[in-house]
Amino acid sequence: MSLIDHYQAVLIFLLVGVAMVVSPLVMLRLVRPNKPIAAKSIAYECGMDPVGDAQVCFDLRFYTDALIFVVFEVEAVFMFPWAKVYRAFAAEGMSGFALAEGAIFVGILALGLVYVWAKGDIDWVKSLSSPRGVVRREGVVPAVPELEPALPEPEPELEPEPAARPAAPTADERHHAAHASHH
Amino acid sequence: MTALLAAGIAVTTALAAPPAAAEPAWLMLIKVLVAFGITMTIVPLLVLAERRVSAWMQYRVGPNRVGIGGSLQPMADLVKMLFKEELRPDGVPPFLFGAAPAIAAICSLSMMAVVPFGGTLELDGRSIPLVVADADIGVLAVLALSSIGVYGITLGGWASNSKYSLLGGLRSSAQMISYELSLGIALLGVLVVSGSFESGSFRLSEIIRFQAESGAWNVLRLPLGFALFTIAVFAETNRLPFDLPEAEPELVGGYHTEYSSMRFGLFFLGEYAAMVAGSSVIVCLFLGGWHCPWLATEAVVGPGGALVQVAVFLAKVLAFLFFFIHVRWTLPRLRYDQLMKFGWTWLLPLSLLNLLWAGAHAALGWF
Amino acid sequence: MLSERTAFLIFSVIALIGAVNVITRRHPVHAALWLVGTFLGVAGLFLTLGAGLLGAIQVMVYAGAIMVLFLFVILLLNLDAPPDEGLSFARGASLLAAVATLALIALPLARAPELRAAATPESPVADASAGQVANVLFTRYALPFEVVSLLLLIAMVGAIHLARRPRRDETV
Repeated sequence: MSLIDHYQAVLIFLLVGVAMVVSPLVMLRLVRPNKPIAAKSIAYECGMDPVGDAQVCFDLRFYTDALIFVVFEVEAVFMFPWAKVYRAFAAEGMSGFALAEGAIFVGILALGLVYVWAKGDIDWVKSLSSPRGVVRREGVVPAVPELEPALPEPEPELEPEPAARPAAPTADERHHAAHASHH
Repeated sequence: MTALLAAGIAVTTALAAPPAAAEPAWLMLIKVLVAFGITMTIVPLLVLAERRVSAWMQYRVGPNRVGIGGSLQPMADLVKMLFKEELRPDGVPPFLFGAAPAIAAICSLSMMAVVPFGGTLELDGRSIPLVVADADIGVLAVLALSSIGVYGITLGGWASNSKYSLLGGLRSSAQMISYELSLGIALLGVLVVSGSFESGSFRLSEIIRFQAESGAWNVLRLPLGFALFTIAVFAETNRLPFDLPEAEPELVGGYHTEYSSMRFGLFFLGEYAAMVAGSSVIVCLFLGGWHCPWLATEAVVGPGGALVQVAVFLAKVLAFLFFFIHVRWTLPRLRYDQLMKFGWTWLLPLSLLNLLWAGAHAALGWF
Repeated sequence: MLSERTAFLIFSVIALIGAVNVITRRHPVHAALWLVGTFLGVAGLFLTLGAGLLGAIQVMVYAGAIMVLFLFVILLLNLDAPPDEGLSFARGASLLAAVATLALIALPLARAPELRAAATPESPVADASAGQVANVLFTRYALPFEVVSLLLLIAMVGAIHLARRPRRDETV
């Protein structure tokens, strides 16, 4: 049984899948209502009219992550054949060699992970909130000054410090405390 | 829809006219339909279970009006989705906008092609492996499909021309690639410890057979790997606590904010099909697949044994899916920075550690 | 039956259609997506040649990882379809390079028939299954294998460093 026969099954599977997925999209176009009005084709922004185009620049951190991902994905790919023959090597009494080989390979790349970790490149928040690092990129994004809601704003109420509070909290602070305990 | 489906099946049958030494096309087709049947039966059940279990966990009633105990609710949802108007925002590339949900759904559905739902069936002197494609790359196909599935979501977000969608899509792709690494590396551990002694195998059927013959499931060999893989699957399928891409309070619907009607339905289908596929792969890799002590132990069986095997496999998958649902309604959602930090600084180093553990395990020749 | 030749033809057509669209689409995102299509076609070619592992790697690394990075870069820079600048110097140069490459491939093929024979799908070049790759990679080429990890490390550190530098120069 040649290799292609196996994939033939996959191909059939894919085709049946495509048919199943595409057919309801296409066939039922006939019965679906279609009453376009201008308001329906506005992108949803909670009732506000959208400002500008949505295809704006986004954060550099996604790029950094993708970069690290590519390197480690290549590593994982190299390790697949390793995992495949590991048992065979072990059967020939070469498990120590194979293990060392794999461990060195992974170890060297783990150094890379340590590097980006220590430098804070995989730290999602540090790059924004550290005093030196700086990422309000006015220079880069002129039209839409910031579009980074992916940035989780640290919520101050989440960490109440009762010890530091004055004896009689103001109404506002009581509200905050109640809010925090509610969390 | 059925007509087109029939046409598709006819075309594929024609394409797959009997190969010389391989299985006859009708057999292949039956297996394809069984695999699809399993997925397409579990998905509505899962949708219903999700709503009923969440209601039960939150001391509510849940949908109970359509059919007995709400059993026809998924059908009602489907009919509703099929007859809804399809909306498309202004300035959207029509083809990409339509293709994105299809990519997501097809990739998730296709993963089931390499999942064995039983051992090998001996029938009329013919031995039929109960898997659609017993390809030699096996489980790598699942990884490859999930890496293609990322495009469905990224594109859906990008092509919608909506800010919520874009952010949801980006978050999702960054999250999926981060956790895909841990998924792959945790998988490596399984490949190292299981497989025959001559050589390991990427075939899920052989990994299951190894577990059945040694009598110990891989979860015993690699408890850490099991935990890591499960967490990574949760993140890959965008399930809580990792459902940041569609975090309702911040992003409305995430990448599918602008989708309606059946296009939304396809994203929905893809997500649940990915859950089914993910659970199946976990069950195969770590929980012995069709193997059950004292009940289903032989890899090669007759029709009765095959039924038992499929039943055991389905029971495990359903149990794991219940776990999926239970986790969703138990844990709170992570913050995005926590999510990324967890993926890179915990999951990835631990999965590397797990790989070393697996290597040592295999080298020392433990069970 | 889906013969290997048919499969080869289908996948080649997919790869070629993708490749042509990569260079003709004006919008960078569309071009990148067509490139994904090309990669999938090439992965299919690997499968027909009996190299399942290479096919999977092609999809995982090229289509799944590198193209995601490309897309991120395109979205990061917010590249839009560039204006049509006519026949510029860069275009002329790339056209020349394309013709030269084509000639480099086509001339030997035209001159030596045995090269043409080797390129048909009936005679797979080598058994490139995962086991075969691994047996050579981890014994004979063990040292290069380790050096690859160093190379990857350097690549990652360098790329991350370059990506980071502009941030330091700016102020809030």
